[in-house]
Amino acid sequence: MILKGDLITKADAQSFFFSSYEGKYTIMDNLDEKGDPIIHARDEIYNSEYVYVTVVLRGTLNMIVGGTPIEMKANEYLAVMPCMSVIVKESRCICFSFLTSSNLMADIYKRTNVHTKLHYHAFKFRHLRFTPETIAVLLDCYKRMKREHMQEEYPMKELVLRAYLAAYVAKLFSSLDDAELVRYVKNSRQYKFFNEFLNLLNDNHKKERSVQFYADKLHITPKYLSTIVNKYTGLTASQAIDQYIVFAIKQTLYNNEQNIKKVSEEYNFQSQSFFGRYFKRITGFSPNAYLKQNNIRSINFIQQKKEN
Amino acid sequence: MSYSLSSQPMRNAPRFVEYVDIFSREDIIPSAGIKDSLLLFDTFNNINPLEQLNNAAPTKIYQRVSFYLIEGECIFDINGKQMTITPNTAVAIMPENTLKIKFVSPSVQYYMVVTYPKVSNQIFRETGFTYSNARLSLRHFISQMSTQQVRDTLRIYTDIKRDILGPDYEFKNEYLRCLLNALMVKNINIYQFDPMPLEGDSNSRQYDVYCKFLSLLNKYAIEHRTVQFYAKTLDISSKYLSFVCTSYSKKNASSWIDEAVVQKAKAMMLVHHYSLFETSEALHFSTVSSFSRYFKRVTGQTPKEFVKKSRS
Repeated sequence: MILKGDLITKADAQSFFFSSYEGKYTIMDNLDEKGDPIIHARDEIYNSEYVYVTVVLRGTLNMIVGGTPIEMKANEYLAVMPCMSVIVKESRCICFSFLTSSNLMADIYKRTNVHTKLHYHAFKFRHLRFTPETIAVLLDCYKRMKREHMQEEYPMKELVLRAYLAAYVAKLFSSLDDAELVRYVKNSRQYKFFNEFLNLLNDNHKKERSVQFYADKLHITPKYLSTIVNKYTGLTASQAIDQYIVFAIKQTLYNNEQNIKKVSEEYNFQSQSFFGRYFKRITGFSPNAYLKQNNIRSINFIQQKKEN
Repeated sequence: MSYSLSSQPMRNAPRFVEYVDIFSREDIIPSAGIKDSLLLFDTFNNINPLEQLNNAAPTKIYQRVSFYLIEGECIFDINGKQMTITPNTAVAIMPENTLKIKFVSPSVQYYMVVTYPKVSNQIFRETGFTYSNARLSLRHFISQMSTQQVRDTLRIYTDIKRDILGPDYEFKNEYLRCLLNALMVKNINIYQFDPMPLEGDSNSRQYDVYCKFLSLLNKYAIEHRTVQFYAKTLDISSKYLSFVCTSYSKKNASSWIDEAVVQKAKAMMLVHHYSLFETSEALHFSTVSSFSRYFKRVTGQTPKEFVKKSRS
């Protein structure tokens, strides 16, 4: 399993138009495909912090998202939130999609006055059916972004792209009410447990990190909880809890621009070094490296000085 | 219609408003628009919607006007200065300017965006730049556009117009603001100055402190004049704040603060016609004489002299 953010790399997207902006977001489509619009099967990819959106215009796209097989038909839209694994199967379709880093997405939420936290949506996906009119509007917005991507580099390009992406999201949000939710048989007992587990995570993730706690709350054994979580996410319960917490921490570090010490206190870690080690175990890099890598401008340079 | 593009109410409306809103006069029908937020004028329907303003008396405007000329020639009279505008030129006129429009060639082709202060301020904020309407007021900019810019700008303009004329939906405000944002950022070179400082690494934390300090200044210059306050708000020492400011702008923190305070004072006196006493009260000075001394220390002239000079 690849515990990395790169859902699709350039090598994967052979017959695709593909453009990426500094790892912040990537757009891809095969709209220009004339002959057989084939999409090759890809290995399982674990998506730890990207929001992945696909719209199918024609044909069928087969995917497995966190263990649930999904068949996307024409005029359907799929949004996969972070912490989910995605498998693309060989399919024939015309589609366009983009990947947005969750930090950028949080900025756009702020701009569109949508007050939500991305980690509340972790481990979830949304499969919707739109009217052809809505799809045409979304395609219009997508083409605008694509046109901008293809232009030569100029100093304000990033800001223009951001504005276009936000415009796309605004259009998307406003059409969500008319959309028809594609349902899967989910009123099983296990799914209820899974949903309950996610709600518990939302409420308690700042204090509790043990599987035992969540299993006790649900009145089931840790092993059974693990089986359920594995069914819907492809991760074990402890992995899922860790991924969720780390994702929430990343969001907090990015949004509030708090310093690492305050965050480690907020998330109930005994010490800053324990927090650092925990973060590094899950993500592979230290919190400070994450801040630097994502260009998050933290004003906590006093701490930086000490390290140097 | 109570529909407004801005999601935020206007904070403190100026007390002595004497502006005439020429763009929402009854005999002038915009091509598209939202009242008190955004108005669009263009000649794409073979009508010149601003015909009535041709040779009208000069008026002080409080909106931000972006004018893009496609064909023909026209003359703007801004603050008594005549300027001839040629095709493929963009003109940005900031609030507080006195404007008179003259169309010269009969078949003039143009499009124009008028944004009201509450909207344009919000758009400025969303771009994340350190300047605002207030910092740009009383200025105007004219610049030639590249062919790519001409094409892109027109495309964004038609998108905005189509959306305004189309049906209402939930996130219409946000969508329109995003496009307006793109329109402004795209033509940022019109403003003829670099929004980013030239020296230093713009991704560093120091730069972030610098930007945050400038935006704090915009917000708090009315109340606070000590470096200590800003340093405390940013969780850093005042020495470090001053160091960061000098490294990016060759001006230390206290002279930045002085400049911001004086700028606010000037705006209050000239634009809103506050009296000396009112200004010193609004800026939280203990007495008028201490305000006068402060003003003189920074600008070299007393507020009274300044007002007299600029009114004459």
